[in-house]
Amino acid sequence: MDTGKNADRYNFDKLLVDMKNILSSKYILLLSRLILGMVFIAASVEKIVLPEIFAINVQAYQILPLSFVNLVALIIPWMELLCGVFLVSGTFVRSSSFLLSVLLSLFIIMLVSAIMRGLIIDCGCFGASNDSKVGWLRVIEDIGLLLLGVHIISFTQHDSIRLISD
Amino acid sequence: MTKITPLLREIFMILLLSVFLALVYNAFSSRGISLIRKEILKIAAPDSVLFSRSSLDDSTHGVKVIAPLHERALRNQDSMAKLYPTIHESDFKIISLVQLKKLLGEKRGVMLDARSAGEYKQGHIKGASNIPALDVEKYFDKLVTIPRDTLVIIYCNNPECDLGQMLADFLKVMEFKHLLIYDDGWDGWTQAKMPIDTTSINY
Repeated sequence: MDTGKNADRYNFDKLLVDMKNILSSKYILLLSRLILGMVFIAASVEKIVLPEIFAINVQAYQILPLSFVNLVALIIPWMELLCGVFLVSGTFVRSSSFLLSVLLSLFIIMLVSAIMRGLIIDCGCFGASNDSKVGWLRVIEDIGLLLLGVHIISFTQHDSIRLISD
Repeated sequence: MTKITPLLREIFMILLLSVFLALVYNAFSSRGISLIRKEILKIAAPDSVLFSRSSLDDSTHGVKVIAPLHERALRNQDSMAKLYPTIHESDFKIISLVQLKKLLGEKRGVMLDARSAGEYKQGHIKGASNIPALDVEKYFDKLVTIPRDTLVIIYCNNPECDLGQMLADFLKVMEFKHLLIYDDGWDGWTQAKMPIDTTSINY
């Protein structure tokens, strides 16, 4: 009898459709936007106010040529702030999540590179005061945020000024 | 699939706006940083400058430390600056553990721990006061009471830690004349199994 197998396939397809419905729900999208946006706004503020500390953190990774460290340390926090604000407010949602996803991918690569080289340095994720060390937990956190970003890009139909897009 | 081009334009505009805001804010911020990061050349302080008698003639070990490379580097400062235009000199000189121990033995100078208050409490070099480099402006009143020609010895955690340099820069602006940094820092001190002090000194 085939009804058993057909029933399983039907349940599996239904599960996929259900998941897709949940992920495209505008409320779930709002949740992703708010979480990703607010994390990045919070992360950016101290780096903007104390650029030298962030520049020291960037330098510690020993990846960029020394001359470029300051420019990068200046621009990245402002990207984080702008994209975070745009996400929370619901404008330029896909562009912002794209940029943040790119940033997160870069951060993950930097973190893994630092771990591989055995560097025990401050992550530089949130600025000076409540900083944490480089480690696999940071990588997992960033992967989680990256998933949020990918979710937003994939399921946002179009941007609008209102908090919850249609 | 919606069109890509307006998205690319948005992405580019956001990037441009970020760069613009970053440069403008940095130009007006009191804590702004230079756009091109330069390497700071660390020059070691020779014993002849630190100690009036000729250097580390320790009678028990009979070891005399000669530092001709340091002397030559000091003499050729200008030519080095021309060779390496991206490097500029530091306002301070580097001292080794041996020199630090001798200075401490002679009870010379003022020692400053540039790390945060929490790190200082966990352990510091005996005799060092805590002037966290990150909040140095708050300690201006304390620093102002120190005569500017006192020998100042600063340390941080290790050679990679920039807090010592930051503190030295600030003190240089305050016109302190003699700034030394014990570059190996707290890590070097504890690795050499030197005593750890947890009392604190307040001016």
